[in-house]
Amino acid sequence: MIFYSDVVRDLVQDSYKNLTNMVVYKGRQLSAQEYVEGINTGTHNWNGTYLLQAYNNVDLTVNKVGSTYKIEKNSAVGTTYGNYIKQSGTAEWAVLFDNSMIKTSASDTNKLLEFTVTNELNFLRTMTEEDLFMIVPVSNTAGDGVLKFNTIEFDGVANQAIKKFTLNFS
Amino acid sequence: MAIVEQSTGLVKSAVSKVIEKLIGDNSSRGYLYLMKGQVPTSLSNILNPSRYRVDDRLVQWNRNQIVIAEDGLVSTTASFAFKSSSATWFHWYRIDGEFVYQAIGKVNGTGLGGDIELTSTFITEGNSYSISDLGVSLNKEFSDIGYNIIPAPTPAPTPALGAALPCRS
Repeated sequence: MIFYSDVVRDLVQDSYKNLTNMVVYKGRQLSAQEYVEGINTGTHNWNGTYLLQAYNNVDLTVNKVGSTYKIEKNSAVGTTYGNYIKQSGTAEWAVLFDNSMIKTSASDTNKLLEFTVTNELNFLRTMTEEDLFMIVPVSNTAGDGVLKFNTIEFDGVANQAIKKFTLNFS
Repeated sequence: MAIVEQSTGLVKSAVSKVIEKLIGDNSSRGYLYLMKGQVPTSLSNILNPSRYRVDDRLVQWNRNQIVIAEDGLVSTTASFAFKSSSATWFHWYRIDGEFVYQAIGKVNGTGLGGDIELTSTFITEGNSYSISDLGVSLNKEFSDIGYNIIPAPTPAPTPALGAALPCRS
């Protein structure tokens, strides 16, 4: 089935541009099903073994090049999106969460995630595959990751700024 | 190769929004056609779908004949075919001001992997046809970072009854 570009444009604007919360992991990239299990058993949540750093409310924009719609990071170089640093390791992959998954006020109910004032990322309930997320590869600037950093060696101290984010749709 | 994978929830949300765009509201100018002839490989040159290959249209459903179920499956009420020929593709479009929302897909016989599968692809003028379930789906996984979203057919639906036309996507 083929969609005309106005469908793709709205698909990008209405759905994928909202994946503005990002969590970077070390270790083998998991499938969506494995990731849900990893969160629910605790291996991939804030206190688990694999979470390196999280980013809150990354400003994304949509640019059209030819017939391709590109979701890209729109911020200045060095923008940090919080200071949610957990531990050191080699960044291999990341999970992007839709804005609707994030608790931002006390009246929010049944949200999956909360960025805390103590610079942590809490998973608030049992996760399912019905939650809105996407798993993407991470690389340095020379690699082919959706999410790129100057270095994928996170030291657990410095705030690793996102160098580039590109997700293409056509 | 690096793999990108969406959650089931994200796919469902995206598909729901695709269907919303194709169907619009009660005042929308939108149509779904069974078509004959060569299947287009692109829609980028179809800027005025209301005039596109009019002679190849076999059955028409207007917007208010198209029903979206809670689970996202698309069905239609019955329409009479106004031409006899073999259906090879479908064309669904909606015009909203300067924007044109379109989807096309292949029509094949049952089990042959079309986006819509018909018990018989030959459409007979004067006979009544309806679509029982047309699903739209997106792949959960993809490896080509440059072209990430690839629509894919859904599993086989329940066949339609009586004069209805069993379809799937």
